[in-house]
Amino acid sequence: MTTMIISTYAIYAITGIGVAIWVARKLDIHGVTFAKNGDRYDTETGPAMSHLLVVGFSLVAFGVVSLALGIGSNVQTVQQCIEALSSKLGWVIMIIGMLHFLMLTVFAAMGRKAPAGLAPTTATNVSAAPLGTVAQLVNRLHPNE
Amino acid sequence: MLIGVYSIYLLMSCLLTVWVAKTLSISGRPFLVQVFHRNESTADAVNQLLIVGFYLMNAGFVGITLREHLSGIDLKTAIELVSCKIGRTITVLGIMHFFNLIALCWIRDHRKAIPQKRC
Repeated sequence: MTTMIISTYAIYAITGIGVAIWVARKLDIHGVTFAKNGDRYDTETGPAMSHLLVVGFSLVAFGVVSLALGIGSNVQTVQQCIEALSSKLGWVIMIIGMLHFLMLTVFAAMGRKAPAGLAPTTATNVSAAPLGTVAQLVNRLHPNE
Repeated sequence: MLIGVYSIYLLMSCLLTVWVAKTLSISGRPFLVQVFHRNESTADAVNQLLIVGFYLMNAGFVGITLREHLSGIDLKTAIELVSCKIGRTITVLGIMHFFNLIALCWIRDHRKAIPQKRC
């Protein structure tokens, strides 16, 4: 009985963590593309932000897989093992799918253009922002200099 | 058996915390540099302070949730306990991480709006 329950847990853990890693890798690879579409992130911060979001996703996904491990009833036969596994994995994979769609929404928001009041965040623009403002002011006051 | 549960939980929590903190500090640095308008010394300082806060919060959470009022548990219960404890810790870490990101995005957008208004 102990062997059966431990093998059930092992199969569950391997499958759950495998699915979580697979989704996280896909998000990590394809999430960067979204950041390139918008003007909020430059070439350096886009991948970094995407990676930070994927780390958050992985933490929550692994947490859900780990939290949902316990099986209330005793697993003694192969039939019970398959039933328990399918029920547990079904719930966990569905929650990971929902998290995945949530991440897609966040990535889509990353790809949008910045609102009119906010400047694009390219490296040159940000570094020149305070100095650029002063320079523009000086130009306006003394156009010949 | 409970001692074993505690040891595995503490060991895994320490490893996870260090790994996540390293990943966050490396990936978060360019983002912090952008938040603080390319002021790298401020970004590095904030990065270090955030890591310290992260370590403190996690150590506190692990410490609070360590104790279990059970005795004479079998292997099945032990596995369930370790998994449940670690799962709770990781989920809280992940949610805290998302709140951090939201806060930093908010700071970045609001700091950026100031030079625009002046000009």
